[in-house]
Amino acid sequence: MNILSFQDAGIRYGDRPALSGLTLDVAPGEIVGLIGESGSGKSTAALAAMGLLPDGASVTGRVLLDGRDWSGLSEREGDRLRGRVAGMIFQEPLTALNPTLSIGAQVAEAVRATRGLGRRVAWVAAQALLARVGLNISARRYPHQLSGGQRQRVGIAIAIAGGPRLLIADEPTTALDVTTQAQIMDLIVRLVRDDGMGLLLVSHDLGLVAQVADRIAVLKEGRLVEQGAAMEVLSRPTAPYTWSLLDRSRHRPLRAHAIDPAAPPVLSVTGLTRTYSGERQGLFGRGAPVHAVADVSFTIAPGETLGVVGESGSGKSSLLRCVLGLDRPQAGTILLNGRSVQDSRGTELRGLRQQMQAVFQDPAGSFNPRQNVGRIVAEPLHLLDEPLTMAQRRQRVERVLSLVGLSPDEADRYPHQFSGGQRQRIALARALIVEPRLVVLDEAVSALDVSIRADILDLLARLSAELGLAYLFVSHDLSVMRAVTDRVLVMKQGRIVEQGPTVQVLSHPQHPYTAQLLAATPDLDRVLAQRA
Amino acid sequence: MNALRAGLLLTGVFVAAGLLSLVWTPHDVTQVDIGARLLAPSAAHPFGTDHLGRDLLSMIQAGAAVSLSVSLLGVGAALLLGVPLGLLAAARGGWVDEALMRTGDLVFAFPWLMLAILLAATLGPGASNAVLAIAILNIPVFARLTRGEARRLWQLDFVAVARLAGKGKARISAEHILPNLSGPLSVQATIQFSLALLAEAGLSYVGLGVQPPAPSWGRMLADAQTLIGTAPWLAIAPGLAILLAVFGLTLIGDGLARHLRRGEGA
Repeated sequence: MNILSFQDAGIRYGDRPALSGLTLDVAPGEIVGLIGESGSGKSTAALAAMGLLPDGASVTGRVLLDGRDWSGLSEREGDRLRGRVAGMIFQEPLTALNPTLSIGAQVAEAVRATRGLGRRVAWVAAQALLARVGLNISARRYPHQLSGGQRQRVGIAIAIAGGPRLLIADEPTTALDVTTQAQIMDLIVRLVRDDGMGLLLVSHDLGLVAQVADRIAVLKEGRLVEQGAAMEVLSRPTAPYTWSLLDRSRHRPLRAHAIDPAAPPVLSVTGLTRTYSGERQGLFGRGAPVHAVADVSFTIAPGETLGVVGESGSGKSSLLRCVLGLDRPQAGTILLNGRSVQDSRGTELRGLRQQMQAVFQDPAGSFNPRQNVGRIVAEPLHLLDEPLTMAQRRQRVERVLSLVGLSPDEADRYPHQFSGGQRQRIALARALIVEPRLVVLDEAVSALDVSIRADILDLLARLSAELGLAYLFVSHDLSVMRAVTDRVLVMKQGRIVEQGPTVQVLSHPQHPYTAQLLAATPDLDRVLAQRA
Repeated sequence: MNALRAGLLLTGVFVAAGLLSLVWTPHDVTQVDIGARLLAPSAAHPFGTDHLGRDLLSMIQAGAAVSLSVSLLGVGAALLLGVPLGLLAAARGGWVDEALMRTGDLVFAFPWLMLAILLAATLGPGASNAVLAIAILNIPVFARLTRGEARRLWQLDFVAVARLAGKGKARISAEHILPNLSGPLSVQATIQFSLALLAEAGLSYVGLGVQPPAPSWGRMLADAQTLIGTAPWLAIAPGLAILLAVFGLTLIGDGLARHLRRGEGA
């Protein structure tokens, strides 16, 4: 019998349908991957399976957990099912844990709630659970003392505390670094296999789902477009949407290679070092200083795309802030077209800044919500020596909006009226309005769905070819690196461990850390080849 | 009816009554009429009269003008000074931030009434000194709120972009930080306004606010105290006025906060 069963299930939030006509089963011992982009209803499906839909959601059809329909269950009966029959692993382990309780207490609480044990026994059971999820640290520690991966392990311990027969994991590794992501996925799969649990794995990441799923279901705008055996769906998709999703996730833009290695570099960084003084300890003491960036050197040729890869704490953000002049390094030089960024002042600095602009990741924090697109895009025009007339400003804004594929009328709208992909176009337009030679892209496509990401990568490639732009492209995503960069730097703990042409570094890594990163990154084609 | 509208309506009644008192009140508030002393509420005197025969409705009306303007001036002055100080602390950081915030803590450390009495004792009682006391007490409230929110905003990417566009800290504070503070500041300002009303009543109650013969809610309460057994309406009218005015402003603050949260959610 199926442990989880959606039978023609439809869910609406008020007037807005989130899911319609979903029929999907998960059997014990089976891993089902539920794939979709943002707005596909995949998280709604996960919440419905746990009976955790917010107030105001209306359900049609049936959602059965262990043969029992959620709509017919009282609050108390539902509480008994949650934890005992099904456990849930959330995306963001920090907010899923209570910051004021020790991790042992939180796991013990889950044990007590689901198994009705006494305090002492539950505490012992909690320690056993923490050991089972591979946490060999004191159960008396608190969430803030743990790394993201360790927190997610605590979340998993809580999910399995009641010995459930089904796990529901909603983007369980999206907030984690790649190497941690691989370890957490291994752990989840091992637990599922050992205990014969069913797993509903909800994710946007095709490579990740491809690695582990027995069956795959693909959602688009609340509708199931395809489901079947994982290898079938991934290698011979029947729905056009699945096909395009697979295609777009592998997408590599056509890139014109007209880089002259002999030309003087746009950006030349030598011996860059940025050290932060240690955290305050007690009233007067300070911890050891943190070497965020240590002796980093590289150059970027005109028209070249240089990738910087690194996990959190690798120093890539500190490096960017120094290069952009938002932070001052302790040592090293940063030359932009041969002129030092640190030593420039006034008019000269403004001139240099025109040559280098940036696009950031966060779609919410990138724009002042009180300004319209026209004002946002015109911001860097402040760097011009001669102030422009209103008409000239308007003209430049409209020209650059068309350049990035937006309509000039969009200038009067506000950022919240745009989708994620359009916002990154606006951010790009803002960077390009002063006609820079170098654009720094800080995880600029990481928050985007694969189909939109492919469009933005195409746009970046086209602009580079048309305008001779160079990019400094920072990302944690190796598949994006492979698709768009000429050369790549791999950073770890503030140092460059490997650098070279992208093809060479990513196919024949010389440093063990690069090899480790590559092995941990889910790659669709490699997984398909392995599983075939 | 939602909280915001109810609050605006209630506060609007007091503002209208106060404004009206500047040109017309049912009776002259300074006119003493011993023959009509301590009359219970009636058609001629809806709220009754006090021990000097003055019409309570007229006094409440005139008191509204005094209380509201003292509170408004006090909170307004605190906003005008506190917000720039908060912006400065957030933009400069380091010792400037420390010095400003620790000075604010110093003000917070004193009980407000003691500080007000200290001020009145040195500068003498009166409406302008009540404004001063309310302003001084509220400056650190706005400075601290502004600094906290501004520091959060300084971390955001659009500020980094503005710095890349060569804009200085003052300009970024004005263009990018301040406009995004209007929500939390307006909520806080209404809350502080209601607290200032209470403070003004408190100061008048102990005789340090507006001086006679100008009427004031706080002093009306103080005067009612000895006669509360024989003429309870003397206490009820100003008491209700203070209660309802503070309640109206609190409703506005509450409604504004809810309105802003909804805006963010959309």
